[in-house]
Amino acid sequence: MTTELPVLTPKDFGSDQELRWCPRCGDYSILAQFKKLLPTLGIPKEDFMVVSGIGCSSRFPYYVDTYGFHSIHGRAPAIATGIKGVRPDLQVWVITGDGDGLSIGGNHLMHAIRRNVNLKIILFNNQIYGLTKGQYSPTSPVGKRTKSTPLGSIDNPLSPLSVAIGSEATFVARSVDVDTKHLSKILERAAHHQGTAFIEVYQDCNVFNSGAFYYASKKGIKEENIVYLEHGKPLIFGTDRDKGIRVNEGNRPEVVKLGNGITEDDLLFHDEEAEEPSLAFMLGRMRHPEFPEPVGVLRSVERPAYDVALDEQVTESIERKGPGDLEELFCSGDTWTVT
Amino acid sequence: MLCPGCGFDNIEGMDNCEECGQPLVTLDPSGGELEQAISRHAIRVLCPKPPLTIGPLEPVSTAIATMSEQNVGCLLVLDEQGDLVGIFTERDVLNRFSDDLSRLPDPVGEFMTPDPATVSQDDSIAYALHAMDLGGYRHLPVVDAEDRPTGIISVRDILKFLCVRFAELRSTA
Repeated sequence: MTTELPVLTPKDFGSDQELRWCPRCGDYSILAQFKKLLPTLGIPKEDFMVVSGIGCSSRFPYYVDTYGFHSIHGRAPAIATGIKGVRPDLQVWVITGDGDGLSIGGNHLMHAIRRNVNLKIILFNNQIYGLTKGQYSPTSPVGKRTKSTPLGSIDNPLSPLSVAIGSEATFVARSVDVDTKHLSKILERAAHHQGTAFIEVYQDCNVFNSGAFYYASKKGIKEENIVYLEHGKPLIFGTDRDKGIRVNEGNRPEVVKLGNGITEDDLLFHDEEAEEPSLAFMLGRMRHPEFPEPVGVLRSVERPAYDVALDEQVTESIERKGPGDLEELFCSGDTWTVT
Repeated sequence: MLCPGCGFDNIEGMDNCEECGQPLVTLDPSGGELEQAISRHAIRVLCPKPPLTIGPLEPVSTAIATMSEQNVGCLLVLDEQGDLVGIFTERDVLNRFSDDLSRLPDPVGEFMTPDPATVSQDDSIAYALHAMDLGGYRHLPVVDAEDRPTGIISVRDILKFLCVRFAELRSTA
């Protein structure tokens, strides 16, 4: 006998919790695209898990009607890894921010990624600590004046993409909060990836860092400042799509204008499936205003997922040795009595 | 109605944002009414006044005279290309100039606050308040997409906005 699953809609994933984000916050758009995605995945509602740390974005689990865990600052990747370890059948999403994921929890993020745990990690990057009202974060640009950097930041910022690629992530992408169609596609790609899928989303904190990504989000301006990546296609951008990215003789990217002997064939062709991460790393380091910043999938390669390998080890061990006994384990090996 | 998610200007009464699908009916963010008002409303509702400007090589005496005659607390300092290079405020008069009144003929560029913090018309009033708090400013230049100054807002404009909102809230309570 088969049981027909109910057809779900985005409304089915809306919770009854009061939204506590500021009006016009970029988080709303990400939440809306997320709720639109979940019912399209053919996964029972009870098989989703959303895990977050601390921060504005980390209130996310309250606002989706799935299992969730608003956890400890920076520790969402570690907790999510544990969840995948014991319940590999769940689809686990990690919601984090630039402070939570790259400062307090930088270590946990790195290890979840390098293990290739089957997690979907969305890092909301607004270049500021919003929840605590405006201190600089690990992604704040040099010179940024905030409550904690009154004379301007002198810290070199981290690039979330570089951290992910440097940790050998198998899926790395970037999108923009208000670019809703693009964000939807990227979330969908991440949902279907086997292994850690890391997405950086440029998110506007309209109260404490308004307009940080104006150049990449405002229609009529962004066309000159971002380049949409498409696998197998040349990197072309510009309002008139008359500019491109070429790799010069020094193996560095450069912006060129099409025409006058420069054709699309001279441009860099994107290969998201390249096993060697150098191309993705180079793209991730292209920053405004020197370069258009890449949005889309920078890297998507296959590698065995940690939780699958762990599950295989456990299954094999049970087959070989039986299910085991926890009490027996506690009392085995070297034991001491403390008096 | 502006969508809180993507900023799309929806027709009043829409259940969901036409652009991003964000529910608009059930949207009930937390915070008091005044907090909501400063987050939801953009700086444009303050109707920023056209800025009074001066060149950086003009004598500071001219700047002070203009401020006095026009009854304004600051002037925006623009270079020959019309780019905003500084702001000259009452605080600059007190803090940078009043020690040596013999410098009245000196250029205002030597007394101005260079590279002032700016806002755009689409930024929220909450962001303007944050910028004022952060820098200790009473005035903020409003600039367009090309960073050209189009207006000026003062903390007094925000105070007026809050007073009006407060009165509305009391009358509907």
